[in-house]
Amino acid sequence: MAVTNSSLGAAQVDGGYDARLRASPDWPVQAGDWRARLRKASRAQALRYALLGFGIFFGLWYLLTAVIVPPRFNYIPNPALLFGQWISEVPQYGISVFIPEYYGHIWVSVLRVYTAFAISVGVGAPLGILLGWSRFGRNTLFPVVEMLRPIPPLAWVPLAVLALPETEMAVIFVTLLASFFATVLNTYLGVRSIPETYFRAAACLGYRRVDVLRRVVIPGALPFIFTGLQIAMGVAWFSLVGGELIAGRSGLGYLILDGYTQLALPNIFIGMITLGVLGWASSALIRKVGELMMAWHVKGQGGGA
Amino acid sequence: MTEVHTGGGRAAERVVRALRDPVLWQGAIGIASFFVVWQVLKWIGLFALLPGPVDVVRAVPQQMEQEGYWLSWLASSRRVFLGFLVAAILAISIGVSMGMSRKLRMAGFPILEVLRPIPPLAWLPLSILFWPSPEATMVFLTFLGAFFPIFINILAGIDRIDIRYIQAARSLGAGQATLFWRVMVPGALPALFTGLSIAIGITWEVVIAAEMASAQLGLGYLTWNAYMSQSLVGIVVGMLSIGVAGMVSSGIMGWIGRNAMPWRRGR
Repeated sequence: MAVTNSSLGAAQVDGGYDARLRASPDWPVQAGDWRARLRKASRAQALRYALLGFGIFFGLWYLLTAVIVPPRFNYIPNPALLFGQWISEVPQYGISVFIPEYYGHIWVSVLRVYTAFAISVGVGAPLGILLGWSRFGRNTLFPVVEMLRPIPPLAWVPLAVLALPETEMAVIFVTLLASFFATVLNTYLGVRSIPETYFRAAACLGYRRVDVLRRVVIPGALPFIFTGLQIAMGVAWFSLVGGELIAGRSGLGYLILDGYTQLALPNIFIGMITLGVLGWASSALIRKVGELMMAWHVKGQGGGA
Repeated sequence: MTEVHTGGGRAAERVVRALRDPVLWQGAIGIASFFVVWQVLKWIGLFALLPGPVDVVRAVPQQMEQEGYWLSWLASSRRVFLGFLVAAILAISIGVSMGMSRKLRMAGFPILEVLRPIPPLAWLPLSILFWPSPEATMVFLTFLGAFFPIFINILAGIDRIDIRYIQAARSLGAGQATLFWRVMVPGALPALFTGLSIAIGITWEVVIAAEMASAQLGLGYLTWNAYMSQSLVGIVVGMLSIGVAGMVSSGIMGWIGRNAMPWRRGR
């Protein structure tokens, strides 16, 4: 009873119940009121814990590389030095956000990944549709795909370097292999996931093969295809690094290797983190494109996920 | 459709058809034409560098007899197994604790999400510097490759457990231990095995690359060595061995999965 009385008294002092309600964290944020949004976000428990986690992570990193330095930890640059070098205008090891060479490496890697990705989707998606749609195609080609698939893309590096006229082609070939199989397999599964009744309905309505392809097969397989494309993008970056480490003369993988041979430790980390960011951004891009192309699918799932 | 059109032939043909599943012989046609095309390309002179399938088959026994071939199998398998084991233990314990404690998850998950997109092989140069021996480097890389798929999948598996199962168990009087063993474990097991089978594929991929870069023994080194001595047959045999190794490990993984989840066998 006492509590109720005192809170009632406080409400009367600072402008009544409405004002207090408006100030409470549960009050919806007005559109465009970014300060309230920020205030609200900073109160969120998830954010506080995430900051705590990052604090511990960077704190430990700094502690182990700048303060105590156990044996062998001298190979890891401390975070202050690393990020200082990264944004320095005159970096000690020649790579930072102000150096054009850095963007040169990024550009080469991005170009390789997207070329490989385009080829693997251009060839892999039609092949996947063929495998899923035609029984004869499936019976004859699927065993071949399954026979080649277990060989990891990076095992192809030596063969690709010897057999293809240019190293550049070898790196792209290795990059596209993994994404090719991911695309083929997921497209195939997508076509197989379409209910048989859809095909019968299309046949009853007198669809030509082209219309079945355009109206049934492709939209039906699209959710699976986009899952496949996301996996394909991930493995493309993965194999690209391998290809560039083993056979490249440029690109982010090479930047890392070069940082190793020159013992330019910050460059190794800059390369790794840049690769992580680019890989993540590429996957996010595909997810966004997928959501745009499959508005019906997202809606069907209740607006989320 | 195919069967209907061609099925009305003579009796003998029908017997043959009954004996031989179309899936089987069409598959045989597919694989055979793959090798025929390969051999013909060789004869025509396209990809003149590549050995033909006949050369490869002839070279297999000789390659297998070479010194260190079986030792390479052993070395690679050991690296894969060690890295995979450490990754599985760590990923499962971290995944389960994050799946059961919201605070731990809010603190730890963002960091792992930041580290996850960095390709495992990008860690190679750093780990060569950091770890005292090449062996430790390769096991560490294998671990990195396997950790994230297992971790992400087990976490997703725990999230996907229907909250009503937990509520039902609670209202039937289940304690923490019962809840864990009777609801959480069977509920997350399918996702865990998905993660494990993705991970075992990635470990082979990573170990091959790491061996090409820094090993003295192993299937990846074998292939790289063949490349260095310009032995194309050796390269192809090395690749095939790696493929077989990957297939065998996936098979073992699948077998373990089927036996760990007998209730899913029918599917």
